Amino acid sequence: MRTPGWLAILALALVLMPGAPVQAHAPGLLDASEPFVLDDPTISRALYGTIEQGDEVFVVRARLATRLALPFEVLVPHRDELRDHRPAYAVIAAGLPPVDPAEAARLPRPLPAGAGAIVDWNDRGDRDVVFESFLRRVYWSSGTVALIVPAGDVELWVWSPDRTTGDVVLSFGVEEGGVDYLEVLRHWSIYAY
Amino acid sequence: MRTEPALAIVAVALAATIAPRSARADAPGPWLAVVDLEASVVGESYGGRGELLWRIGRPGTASHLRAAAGILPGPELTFVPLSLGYRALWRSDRTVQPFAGAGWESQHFLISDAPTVHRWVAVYAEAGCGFAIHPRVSLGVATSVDVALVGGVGPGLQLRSFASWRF
Repeated sequence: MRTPGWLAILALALVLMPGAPVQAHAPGLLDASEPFVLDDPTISRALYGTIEQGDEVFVVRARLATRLALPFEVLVPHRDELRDHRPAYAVIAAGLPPVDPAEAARLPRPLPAGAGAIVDWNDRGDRDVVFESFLRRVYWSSGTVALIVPAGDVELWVWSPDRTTGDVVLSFGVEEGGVDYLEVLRHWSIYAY
Repeated sequence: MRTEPALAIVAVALAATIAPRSARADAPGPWLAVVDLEASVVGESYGGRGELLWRIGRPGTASHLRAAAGILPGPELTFVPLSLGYRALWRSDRTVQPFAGAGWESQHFLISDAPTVHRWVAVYAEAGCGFAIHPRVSLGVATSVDVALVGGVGPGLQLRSFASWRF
């Protein structure tokens, strides 16, 4: 019995289907040795990094043309060895509220002159568990927080206040762009595992 | 480039596929039981899958209906796929037994301390090759890709080795 033609058509569709555009957070890699500069801060991003020594600070820089309301969250892979890994993040810009001295003392470095900050310490008892369907990964989330970020220069800091080590993903933004498949494939082991 | 050799190869392959086989009194039955060791490349997980196939029609037919269930634990989730589909298995009475298939899959992602994620409509395509070590037993390798149509976009890719027994 010959193989039905519909089987070939279905197989072809499955091959071609991944070529269809998929809207998602654009991936990127964080490096503690240099800031990650955003070309277009309006595009939502998921930036992946690994805190290896415990004292790294990942920095993201952007310049906003206008004031924007942006959602932020920090994600940690849902693995037993990372259960106590709770990286914090700070949004730093002129025009944000000043940080009280007790909180400022817990920051990994002094704030730039004239800048205020909003800090999420990621210390909520029950973290949300999220399933990322594209790469089929599971994360603990610090919880999405919407912040109004003033126009001008903005910095995001991500660090581990308790000096724990492990992977971290900083997710922010609203406008989803197309997935850069080549970027994902090029750094597959970082994004997928 | 001369096309005659390529056309000859295609013609021989088609003839081998549709040529009738002589029946033998001890010919294996229509059922094929398969046990897989499997790794999921997208959504890291490792485990096994059991399959049961039923040959449609007379001996020598390539067409089979397939039902399968698997459980693949991983560091972040446990992947439990349930599948129904079609497989074309060629040369089942020869040493080298290639196959290809496609079908529907219901995907469960079990997550500790969180509700199970259930994607009830996904389609898969598979291909592989078995090598007969006995008239009824084959060993081989296969790969499959899948994509969910409802409940979240995202492709899957699995690699597996298998042992099958025809009865």
